[in-house]
Amino acid sequence: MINLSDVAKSYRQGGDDYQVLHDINVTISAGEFVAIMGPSGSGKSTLINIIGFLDQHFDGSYVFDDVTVSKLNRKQHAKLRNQSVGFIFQNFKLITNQSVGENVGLPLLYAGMKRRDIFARVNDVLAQVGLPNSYHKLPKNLSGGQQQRVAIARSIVTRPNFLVADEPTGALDSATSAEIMALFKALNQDGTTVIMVTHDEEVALQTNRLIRILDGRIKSDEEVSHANT
Amino acid sequence: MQIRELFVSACRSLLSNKRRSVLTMVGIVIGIAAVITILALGDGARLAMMKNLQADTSGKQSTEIQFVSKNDSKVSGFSDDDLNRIRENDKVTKGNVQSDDHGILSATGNINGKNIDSTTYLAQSANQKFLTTGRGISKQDILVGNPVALVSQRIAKKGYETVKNALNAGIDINGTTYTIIGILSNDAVQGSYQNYDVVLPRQVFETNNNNGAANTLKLTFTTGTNVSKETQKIVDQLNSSGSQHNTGDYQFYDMAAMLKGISAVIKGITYFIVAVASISLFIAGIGVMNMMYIAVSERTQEIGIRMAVGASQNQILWQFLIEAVLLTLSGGMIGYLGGLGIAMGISVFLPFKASVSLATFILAFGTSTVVGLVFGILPAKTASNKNLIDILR
Repeated sequence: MINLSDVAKSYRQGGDDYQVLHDINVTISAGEFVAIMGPSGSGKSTLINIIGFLDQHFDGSYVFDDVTVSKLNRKQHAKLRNQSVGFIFQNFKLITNQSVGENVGLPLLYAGMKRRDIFARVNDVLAQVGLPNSYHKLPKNLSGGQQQRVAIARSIVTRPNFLVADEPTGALDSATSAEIMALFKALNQDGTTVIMVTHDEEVALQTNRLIRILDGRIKSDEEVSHANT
Repeated sequence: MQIRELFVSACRSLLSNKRRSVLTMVGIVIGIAAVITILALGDGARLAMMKNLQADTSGKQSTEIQFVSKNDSKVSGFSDDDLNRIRENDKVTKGNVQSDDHGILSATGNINGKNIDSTTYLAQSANQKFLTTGRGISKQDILVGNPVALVSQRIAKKGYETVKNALNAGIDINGTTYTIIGILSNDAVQGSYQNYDVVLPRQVFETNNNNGAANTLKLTFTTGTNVSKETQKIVDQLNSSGSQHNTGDYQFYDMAAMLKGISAVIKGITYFIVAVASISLFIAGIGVMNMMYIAVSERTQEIGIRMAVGASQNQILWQFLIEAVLLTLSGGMIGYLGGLGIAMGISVFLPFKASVSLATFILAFGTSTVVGLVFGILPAKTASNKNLIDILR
C-alpha cells in the first residue's frame, strides 16, 4: 500500500542544507501495525509527515496505491489527505471553539457530505471510540485521554486507508496511554492500518512491527515478538 | 465542502467573536449609511424638481410651440393640415392651438374715440362670469358669431362715462367693432391671477384677426415620452414644411433641456458628496482587513487542522473571504436601512421626499460586497498559503 523508495529530505537552514532523511526505503502493507521509534531530531516526524501526505516536498518516490504522491498538485494532495489518511497528533489538535461532534465531522464536511448525514456517522464513530453522547460537548470540558479519543474518532470518520499517529500518547499519563493503545489495537484488529511514531519503548513494543530510525536513516526494521503470541 | 457549509462556518466564527465583528462592522455601517442618505435625498430633490416643473398633475407632459412671424403680419402659423399631421403622431395625445394657456391676450382697442390697452379673454362658450350689468355672452352669440363684448366697469366708464351709456354701444378691438352687451366687475379674473377687462367670443375674434394671436400650439404627450425630442422633431418638420414656414419661424422653448441641465448639476453635487462619504468606506475596509489579518493569525492552528483533515487551499481562502464579505455585507445592509431611516427622518423637514430606489439598494449591496472582497482577499490569501508543516509543528 505504502511504498517509499530512496526518500530523502533536506531543510535549508541559513546557507546550509540540513539533511533530515537519507535514502528511506519502506514498504507498509494494508493491515499492519507499525511503530517508528527514534530519539528527538532523528527525522521520524518528518518521515511520518511525508507518509501522511502533510509534506509534499521531498526527494525520491512515494507510491501510495499506485498513485505517485510527489506528482500530485496541492488540491489532489488535500483530497488524498481527506480520504486516505487519518492523522492523530500528540496535542490532539482539536478546534477549541467547536463541539466534539463538529470536530469529528470536519473531514466529512470537506469530503462534501451533508450535515444531516454527518451527524449519524459522527455519533457512530464517537460510540466506537468510547465517547457516546458527547456530540455537543466542548473539547475543553474533556480530559486529555477523552480529547485524544475525539481526535482518533476524527481520524477514522472518513474510513481512511491508514492512520498516522504522531506520539499519540506523548501527552497522556500511563493509564490513559494504555487505554489509547488498546483503542489502536482494537482498530488494527478491525483491519485498520496504523503507523505510529513514538519514543516510548513500552508503547512501541505493543505494535507488530518496529522501525528504528536514527539520524535520518533506518537502523532496524523488525517484527515485534509478543510474549503472549 | 458544500458552499452552504462555508457560509455556516463563516457565520459561526463571526458570532464566536461578536464584539470584534460588531466593532468592525460599525465602520461599514456608517459609510454605507452616509452614502445612502445622501443619494436618497439628492435623488429625491432631483425627482421632486423634475416633477414639479415638467409634468402636469396627471403626470402628462406638455410643451408649447410658437410661431413667430417675420414681418409681424397676423397670420396663423398652424393650418388644419399642420394640426392633422401633428395629431397623427401617436405620442401626442392632444394638440391645440391657443392664444395662450388661459385664452387671455392683450389687444389694443378704441372705445368711443379713446385708445385702450385691454387684456382680453376669449370665451369659447357662453360666459357671464363677473357680470354686473347687462347680459352675458350666450350660446347663441357663439354659434352665430355675433360681434359682442363684455367690458369692465373701468373701461365702460372711460369710454362712456357711465355704465349705462356703455351698454349697447360699440368698442373696437384690433380693428373690429363689437357691441357691448354686458359690464364686468373690475376684478374679473381667469384662473387665479389672469385679470382681464374685455371678454369676446373667441371665434369672432379669431376670424377677424386672421388668427393672428393664435400662434401657440400646445402639445400634450403620452406619459413616458421624451418630450423635448418629440417636440423638436415636430418643430423641425414644421420649419421645413409647415404651412407658414416661409413667413416665420416655429420655435420651441425646450424646458426639458433646462431641467436636464439642473438635474445634471444636482446629480453631480450628489456624486461629489457621495465620493467624500466613500472615504469612510475605504477606512472601514481597512478595518476589515486588519481584523481579518488578526483572525487569520489567531486561528493559525484551526487553519492547520482544517488543512490536515483535507481542506484545500481554495476552501481555506473562501472560508476567510466569505467571512469578510459576510461582515461587510451585513454591515452594508444595516447601513442601508439606517441610511434610509436617516433620509426619511430628514425629509420630514424638507419639502420633498427621499427617494428609495432599487438602484441604491443594489449599490449598497454591491459596494459592501466589493469592500469585503477587496479587503478580505489578502488576509484570506495569507491564510490559504500557510505552510501546513510549519503550523502543525
